[in-house]
Amino acid sequence: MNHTANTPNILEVNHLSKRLGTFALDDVSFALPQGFIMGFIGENGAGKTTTIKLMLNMLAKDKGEIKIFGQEHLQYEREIKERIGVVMDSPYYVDAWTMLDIEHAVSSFYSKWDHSRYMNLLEHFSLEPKKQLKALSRGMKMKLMVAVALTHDPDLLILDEPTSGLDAVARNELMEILRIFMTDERKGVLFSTHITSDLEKVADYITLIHKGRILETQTKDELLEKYLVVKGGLNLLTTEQRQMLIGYREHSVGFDGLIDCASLRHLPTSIVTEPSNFDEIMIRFNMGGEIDE
Amino acid sequence: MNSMFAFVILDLLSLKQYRKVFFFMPLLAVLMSWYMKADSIAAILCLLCSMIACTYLFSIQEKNLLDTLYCTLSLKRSNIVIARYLSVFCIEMIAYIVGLLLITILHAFSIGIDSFRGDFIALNVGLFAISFFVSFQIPFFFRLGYQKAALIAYIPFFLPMLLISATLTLPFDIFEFVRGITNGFILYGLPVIAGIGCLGLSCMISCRLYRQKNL
Ligand SMILES: Nc1ncnc2c1ncn2[C@@H]1O[C@H](COP(=O)(O)OP(=O)(O)OP(=O)(O)O)[C@@H](O)[C@H]1O
Ligand SMILES: [Mg+2]
Repeated sequence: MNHTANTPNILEVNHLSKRLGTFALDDVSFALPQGFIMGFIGENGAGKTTTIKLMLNMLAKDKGEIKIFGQEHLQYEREIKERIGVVMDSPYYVDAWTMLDIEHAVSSFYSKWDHSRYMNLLEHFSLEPKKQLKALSRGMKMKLMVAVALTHDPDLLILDEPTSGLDAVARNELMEILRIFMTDERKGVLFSTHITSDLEKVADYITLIHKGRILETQTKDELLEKYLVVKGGLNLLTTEQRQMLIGYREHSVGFDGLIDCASLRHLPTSIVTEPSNFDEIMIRFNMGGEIDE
Repeated sequence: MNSMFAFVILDLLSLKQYRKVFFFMPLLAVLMSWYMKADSIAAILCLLCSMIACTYLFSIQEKNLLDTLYCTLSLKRSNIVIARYLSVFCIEMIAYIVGLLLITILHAFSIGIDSFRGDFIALNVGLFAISFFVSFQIPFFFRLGYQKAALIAYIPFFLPMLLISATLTLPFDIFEFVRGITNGFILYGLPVIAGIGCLGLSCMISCRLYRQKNL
């Protein structure tokens, strides 16, 4: 999957920094090429929502640069926002609005708003247009936000935990919608989530953020190949070798941990290796290890 | 410009749940005028109602996290503020027109004891007072949010109210004095223009405050 050299970036974040009380987003950089889905993962409080809020100018950045569709995001704010669809982790419409009111309220902001498409999406998600927002469950509200975000045919979707509150069926539906959305290769999706199994299905790129810093940003396959889970008996490793492991943990019969493949050759050949997954990578980094400061 | 009008529509839609209250107000205003035999009460009540509507905009915005919604729409931050002031102005104008209609109708049935001219002056001065109060309040709402600002923002409402009720005729005296020396009836519009001036100034301050705010 190495098409990145000649495809333009639909989203580019360079050296982004922002201090919020005791938390700091520190020198965050990543890029999403056109035509791909990027999963944005990290533990609670890692800075995912903060990064997304900076993109949307909900927070002012301290340093750095954000480019969307190749344009500086503040200079071309209006033009850019007409072309993006956003879903945040909590609903942001007036409780007393019906789904038709929402359409009245937001449709005039978009030249490409398509009423029939909106109705189709609502029907697809089994949402009754005349129902008030306060009568919806959390999952239904998320579906509604996804419907609104898709109705004006955006070129970039920015989704902050869109699957939170959705059941397995609805999550699958959403993944299917994203897949259809991506058949047009000029589009892109940034998708922050906790439910990493969703990403295994659809994501092309993964960006891993931990305590406000980017640890990894690369294609999904490269990331999964880069890290392995290693296991072995208690006395197999020297202290030096143990320090190479990320999230080293001892239990009664042995140890386990995560290892960057590049360091694997320093470990004894008798060690057991297993492929990793995103949850494993996230958890191990959170437990600490070589990269932790 | 287009998106600012779209924002005004969004704002007015956000008041939808209170529409019954706002329709009911003119009726109440007429009843009170009739009971107290003063037409200007109707006009003043309409204006007060518009002021409440303006603060509701901010309360609803905060309760429903509408700041986030605004940031997803194709609007610059400063345009959000300007558009909000346009909404406030629209609401005031609706109240003004309804107030004007009410005193005209009430006079046609000669319920009140004041002259039409006196009521009209009361309406205009009232509009200025309301514009002045909301101009003071809105920057606080933008800076601190509705909940935190509510206490501070109502101070100018109660203080001058006390003063005005102590010297009830003062605004009218000032108005008559100014009218006397300039000797022109165009001055009926003066409070309205001064009100718009206050809103404009307040808008400039709010733009500045809201641009920097972390949402
Ligand atoms: N306005 C603020 N003032 C101070 N600190 C803040 C503010 N907003 C967020 N933070 C802090 O920034 C950190 C990152 O928050 P953020 O919401 O970006 O995390 P997240 O990765 O989205 O987490 P989650 O997975 O729980 O949604 C948290 O520690 C939070 O306490
Ligand atoms: Mg978050």
